[in-house]
Amino acid sequence: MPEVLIKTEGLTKWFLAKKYGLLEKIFREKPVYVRAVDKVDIIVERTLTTALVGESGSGKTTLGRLLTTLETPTAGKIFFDSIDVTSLKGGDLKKFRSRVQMVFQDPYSSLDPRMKIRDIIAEPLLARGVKGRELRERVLKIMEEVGLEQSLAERRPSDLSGGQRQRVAVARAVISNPEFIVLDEPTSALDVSTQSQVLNLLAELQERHKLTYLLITHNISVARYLSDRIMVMYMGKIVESGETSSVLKEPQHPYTQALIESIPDVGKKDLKPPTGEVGSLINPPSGCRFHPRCPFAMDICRREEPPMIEVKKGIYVACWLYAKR
Amino acid sequence: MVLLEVRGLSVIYRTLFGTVKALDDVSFTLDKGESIAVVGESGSGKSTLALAISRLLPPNARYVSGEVLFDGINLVKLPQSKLRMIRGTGIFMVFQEPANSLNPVYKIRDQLIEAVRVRMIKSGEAFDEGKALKEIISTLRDVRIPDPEIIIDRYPHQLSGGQIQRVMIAMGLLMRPRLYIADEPTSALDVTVQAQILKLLKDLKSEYNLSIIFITHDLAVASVIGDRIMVMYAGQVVEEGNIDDVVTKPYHPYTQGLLGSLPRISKHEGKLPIIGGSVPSLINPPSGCRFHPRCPYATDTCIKVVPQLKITDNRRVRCHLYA
Repeated sequence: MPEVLIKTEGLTKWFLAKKYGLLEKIFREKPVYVRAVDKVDIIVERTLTTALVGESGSGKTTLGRLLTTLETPTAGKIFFDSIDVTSLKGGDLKKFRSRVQMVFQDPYSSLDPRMKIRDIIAEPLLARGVKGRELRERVLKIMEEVGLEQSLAERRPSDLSGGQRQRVAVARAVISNPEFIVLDEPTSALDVSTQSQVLNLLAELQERHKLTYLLITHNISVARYLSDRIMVMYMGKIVESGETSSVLKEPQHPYTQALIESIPDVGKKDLKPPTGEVGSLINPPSGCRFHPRCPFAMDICRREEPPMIEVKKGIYVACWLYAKR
Repeated sequence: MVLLEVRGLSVIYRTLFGTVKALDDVSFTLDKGESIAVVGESGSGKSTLALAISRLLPPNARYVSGEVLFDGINLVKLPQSKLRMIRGTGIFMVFQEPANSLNPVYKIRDQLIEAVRVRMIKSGEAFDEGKALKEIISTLRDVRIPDPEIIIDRYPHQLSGGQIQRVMIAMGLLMRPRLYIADEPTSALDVTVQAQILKLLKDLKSEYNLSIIFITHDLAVASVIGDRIMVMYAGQVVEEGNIDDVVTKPYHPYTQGLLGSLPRISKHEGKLPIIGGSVPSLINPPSGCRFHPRCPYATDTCIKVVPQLKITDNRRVRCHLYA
């Protein structure tokens, strides 16, 4: 059994939907919040890839940013290797941050266009005080490892193709030997043929450096390739989690089922998407947030939020259909 | 019945770095009520093809040769004044970035009414705003827009990407075009919305006998929407045929590579097959077959001789392997 690296308890992030300044306070208006992540309990296991899938607006990127401390939670706790990350400050926080890294979706905007590739990759090490020959050697070594020619070191991002840029972003993330990397849609800006090259690279690096990945994606086939565990997110909540192959083969939650029925595939002629639209995150539906779109909605779904139920070994579903009565 | 025939179409772009040969000798036909999926990676010329058919190429582009016959009329030579009669009601195009397709300062209602008005004027009907509005509401309902009565009084920025894309599709329906060109219309959308739109387009195709050119980089999407598929590489058609035949038994090595690189396994089962190298520059395309630097089967002939599109088993393939 792989050990737990990250555990969250009631992790919540609300964003202000509207300006809330002095005037609003004087007139006693209530602040309006978007509930991006709402009371989420997850675990991420060491050396495995946990995929976080969901539609835009489901809160998956916010959850990733919370885990890398790029956002401060509104409520709840994050434990990283049993350290309570949410209470870290100053030097301790800086030390913690050296253990996590992030690869962003768009390699066209995540790399500084005025910096040389060499300097972009070296930056995380510079921040840790690595200098001179050691720095140069480590940059060249990591470039070789991710499949970038040495001659590219003196170039700038604009000279590189999308696939090469994403390799630079990966090199930058891996160079400081982090334990945990959040991959936020790492291949969605790439062409299909480049996508598989980057996926192969990510799998290889994980194996070699015993990395733990959180893979944020809306692309189920990318999740199928890279991940061991999968979590499905809908409107700020995890609705299903478990072993990837089992969840993709036999989805239990009605939303996961609808999501999988919506994925086009070669030779598949009929898609069965869920009806209706994603609800408002400012005024989320009462009870289960999927109930207005759910073909199996019952009375209780409208009234009460469903608990997380273990339906099979290691497969957890937040749905009243599986509650024992 | 043939609706569109493209013959030997070549288009170039003039840029600071040289002449980009974006389309090279592209030919295909499209029947009434038929859909064709045009598949390729970025830089394959698939978007240029859509723009060239609808005469929307940017100013630095030039038609080098070829014809675009729409209902027998050559669009390449048609003056702008006559093109107005074809645009909208003859050919309607939906772009990848739906947000830029609507005018931000007009309400949805005004923009859709204009579409109906244009159609009615072109067909010689008398325009009646009340009747037009009724038609708009029912069409918006067809494209699964919730509460259309409320939505039409909104401005484009008040709608989500999926809603705008559906408004554009509704506009297409209100114009009742004969040819519907969609350039990656669902790439920016979520899978569930994409599935809703693909389903709708298929329904409309059978209901209104619509012809569709669907441009995508995603073979899986192509397989859902297309009757036929045309694979493009570096400005050329490399394979074209019936969709089910091509995806079950691809002939061209590039099509094989594209199909192979769709991830369908887990990392524990091995590496994903890849197409080595990258898309070539179209300023100086490779000699001979443009795919030869990346092709696992390349021979001397491929480096020297340009392969022609040959018909093999009811399919067109540009490859020396099948000559």
